Amino acid sequence: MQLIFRKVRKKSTWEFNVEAQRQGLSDGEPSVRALRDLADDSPDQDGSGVYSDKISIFKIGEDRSDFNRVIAAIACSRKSLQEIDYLIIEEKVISTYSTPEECLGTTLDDHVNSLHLDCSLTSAVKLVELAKHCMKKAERCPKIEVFRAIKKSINKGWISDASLSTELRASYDELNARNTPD
Amino acid sequence: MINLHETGTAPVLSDVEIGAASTNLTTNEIKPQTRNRHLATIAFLVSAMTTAGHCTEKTPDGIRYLTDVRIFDGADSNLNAQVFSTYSGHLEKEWAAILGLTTAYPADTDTSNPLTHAAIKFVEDNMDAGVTLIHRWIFTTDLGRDSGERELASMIIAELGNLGMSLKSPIHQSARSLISNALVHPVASLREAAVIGVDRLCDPSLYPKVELAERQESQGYIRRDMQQLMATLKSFGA
Repeated sequence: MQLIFRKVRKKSTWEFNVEAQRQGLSDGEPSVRALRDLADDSPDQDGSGVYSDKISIFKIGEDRSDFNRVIAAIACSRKSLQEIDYLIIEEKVISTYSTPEECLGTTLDDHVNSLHLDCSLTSAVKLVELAKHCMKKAERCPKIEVFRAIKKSINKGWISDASLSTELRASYDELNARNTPD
Repeated sequence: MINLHETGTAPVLSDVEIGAASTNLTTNEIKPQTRNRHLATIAFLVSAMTTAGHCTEKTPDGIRYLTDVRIFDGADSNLNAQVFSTYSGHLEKEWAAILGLTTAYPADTDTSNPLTHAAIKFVEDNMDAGVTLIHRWIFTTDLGRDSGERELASMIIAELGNLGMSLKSPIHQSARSLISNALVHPVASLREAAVIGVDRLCDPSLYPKVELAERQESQGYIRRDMQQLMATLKSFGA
């Protein structure tokens, strides 16, 4: 079964943690913040008043074989090096709520771009159902693992190190200088 | 600049000044819908800053008024930098550094904007005193009362991990100290944030602190995060 990667803002949003209990949520009940995290990719970024109902996801294979490459590609699109929180969802679950469409991504890795899908979520009910399914399933790729993924992508020539932002490059070089074990 | 020791009355900004900020935003080509949404946030920011100015002492209590700034989390970083640039001069440097950390610093910040770049530089140069204030605030205030305070404190702890990662960073030691102490903070969300902070610091020497915290941790989800962190630190030379 094909697995789908979806980056989220905060892993803790998807936990039944102390904050969720303080807010009166029940176990497995998604918060409004979780819905935003899942659905709100680019809210009105251009000021046009039009909100996209499409979310960005990546296929990573049945065995997560493309996981590290996707992590590196996403990390290199950011301005600084840090952990990445994400959800892994089975494609059949996504397909229950939406029809994902192939849509070339915009990362620095062409292969990863080919794994990108746009997922249209227009029904609020389906969004809540999908969010319920995702509760407690968020994971974290620690900063050091993100660094290692980037390093591999650069070494393999999948991503050009010249394309990293200055700030990202500084963090990358700092870790690299510490003789990081791979 | 407001002297928090001497100022009895906060310089409440007038409608004209807020209007000037609005004009400033207009001239920087921020489209109307985005601008309108952010004008509300500016009002919050002005309120927070001027309320902070009411403090006659530089107590950590003053920081809690800055919790309104949390609404900037995830907002447009260029606009945040503009707002920071416009208003930071009203505060002493450590307060301004805290504001800068919570507005202009988040990970996806567009550093190609010179104002953002300046804000980040300001934070880096002035945060050491800010960390002392934050330390007192986090460890002497009942953060169980207010979700906004907890959220702001969590955000600061995690961001300090990025800011203090470089061994050459002027705040490396103070950030390291604050974050490692927060691993055993009574408030769970701060312990969660401290795990992120340690991860961002990439400092394997903190392994024993994480190990100790993991043994004491009562929440299963935080314990799992700590175990993952320990494994990562170990792979990095701990």
